[in-house]
Amino acid sequence: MHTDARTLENNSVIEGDVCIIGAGVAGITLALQFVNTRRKVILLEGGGFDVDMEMQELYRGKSIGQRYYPLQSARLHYFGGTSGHWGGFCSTLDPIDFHKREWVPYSEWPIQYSDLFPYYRDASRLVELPTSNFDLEYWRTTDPELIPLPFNEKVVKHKMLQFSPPTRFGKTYRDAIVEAGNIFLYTHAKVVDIRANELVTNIGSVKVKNMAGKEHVVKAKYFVAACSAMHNARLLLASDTQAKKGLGNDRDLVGRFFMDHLEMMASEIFLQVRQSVKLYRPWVFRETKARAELRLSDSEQSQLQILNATAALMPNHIAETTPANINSFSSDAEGNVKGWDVLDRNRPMFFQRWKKEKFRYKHFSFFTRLEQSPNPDSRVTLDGERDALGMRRVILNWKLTDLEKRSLRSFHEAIGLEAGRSEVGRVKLMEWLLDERDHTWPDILGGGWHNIGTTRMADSPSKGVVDQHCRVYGIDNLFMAGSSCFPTSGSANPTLTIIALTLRLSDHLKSLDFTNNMESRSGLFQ
Amino acid sequence: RRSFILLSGLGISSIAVSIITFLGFDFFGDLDSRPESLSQICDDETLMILGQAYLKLYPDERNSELLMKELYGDFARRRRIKFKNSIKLDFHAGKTVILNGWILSVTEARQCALFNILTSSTYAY
Repeated sequence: MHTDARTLENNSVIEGDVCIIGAGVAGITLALQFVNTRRKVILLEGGGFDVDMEMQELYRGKSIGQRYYPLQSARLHYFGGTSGHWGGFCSTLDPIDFHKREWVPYSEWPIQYSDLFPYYRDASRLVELPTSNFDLEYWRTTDPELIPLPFNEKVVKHKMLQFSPPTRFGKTYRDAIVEAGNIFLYTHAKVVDIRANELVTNIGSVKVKNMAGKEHVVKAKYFVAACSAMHNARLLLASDTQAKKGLGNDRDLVGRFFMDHLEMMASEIFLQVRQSVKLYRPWVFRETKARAELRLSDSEQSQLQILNATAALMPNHIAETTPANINSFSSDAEGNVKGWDVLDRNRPMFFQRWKKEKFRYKHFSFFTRLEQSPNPDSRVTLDGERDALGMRRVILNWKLTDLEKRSLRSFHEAIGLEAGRSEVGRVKLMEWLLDERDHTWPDILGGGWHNIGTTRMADSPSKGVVDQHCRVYGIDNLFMAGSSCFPTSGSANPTLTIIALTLRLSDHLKSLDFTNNMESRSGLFQ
Repeated sequence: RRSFILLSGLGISSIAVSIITFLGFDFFGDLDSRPESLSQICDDETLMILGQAYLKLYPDERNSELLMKELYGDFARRRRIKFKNSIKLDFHAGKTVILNGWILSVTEARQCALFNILTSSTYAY
């Protein structure tokens, strides 16, 4: 069921069993798991069903560190969230991403890859992938032309990516949410404050506001914040009525460890002979179903003591004319979303060109996606300036360490060595990588729009904000959903893992005790 | 008798040249120092630049005879198979050098250096 909260009588009180704050990928995924269950779920979305520049303006903030995308357009504030301009890239984290790595400070998850792996299957379905199988050998059985370059797999491995259509969660799952009898979607219901009890051990309600000037209160047994990494942190920090430093922030960890992937062209590879590289084909909107990227084996990463990374082969004649993401992404959120509609309309033209493509090239650029080292000084804090709903704005300080640049250089050197060893060809590093003493970054460095890490998961409250079930330490009934819980970023695009982790969270929530005097207020649905 | 000596000398020379050529000695042909694998990727100008970059890093090797000795051994033998193997072994052993961003085997870097010296000498005339 759907209600526009602007139409409610002011100071309405809404009650449910579970209150989900934010209807992006994580929020909608979580709500879908409760469809046709006995639980009454309140799903709160600050925006409406379309991108609205007035709502996007609420996301405006300051970026004071490494150059980043405009905050008012990097995330989308409407039903469906940032899936509205998502590219559809899907991949799983690697087992090494979950391990404690001595050379990566603050690495280690309190769960293992094997804990999350079962959820990738259903996650793949939600983003409309044909399979949850990401093994190279499986994909080679689907197409004999997917021939890998003869790298030694003990050194250079192939990591498969699949491409979602992309699934626009706001469109694809709107009906399922709205038509579910036990899911109560409220749009124009932005949560601006979370209210705890006096001891700050339990959340009683959240305060909702909208641009129509209405305020409401939502009560529930359990609350889940699913607002994206930046805004999960923002909400906790802003909820400082009972906890002066913000909720869950006794140890000053909320907002810290902000991570994104470092994405840029970093080297070129010249193949010895022109050959088929269909396995590594560039991504073409709605046409490319899967491709391989190169990554170093776990043992090689360990030996070199570097971060995880992948490199995609982009034909150099395309790379030369492709502007860096950081220079081409617009602050116009609406325009960014509409741009995908333009791409969709032009698909037939691209497809005609693509049909003739033989995938035989010799010279490529390596588009690299590098894991960021968890850094407590890379963080989201709050500004004194407030938005139109009175909530303090975000200050982002995206901060990198020396490990990133050293990792990037070593990664490409290792691929260069292996390219020579296996007689594949030769690698040429970009000029800005040549000086080992130079820790600065070129203007082309951009993130992947992957906001990660601000309410990180850990095995103790001294190291993280949430426990292995994404529950905020010290607060019985408050959970975080999404990539804000990731302790490390890995090198994979995070959307599939966001969904997998959320599915795991939903299993946990369903196992919790809902039986208390909340029953009489929320009403059970058979 | 004079004719016999002359003809015998020519005959022995021919046999000697044939044997020498068969063994890979080439005193008469132009010594092509282009790195074979790399020249499938780079043009001559790039090879020259790489050679120059190597010599800047290792100025003590700016000597064609020394480079030839390093590359070809005591005899000026051109043995392509040996180089291909040497290059591969260099990569396996991590004997590489980065020249203007290019990750190259030391052997092929020296070949570029020699190519640079010899080609520059040729153009000097």
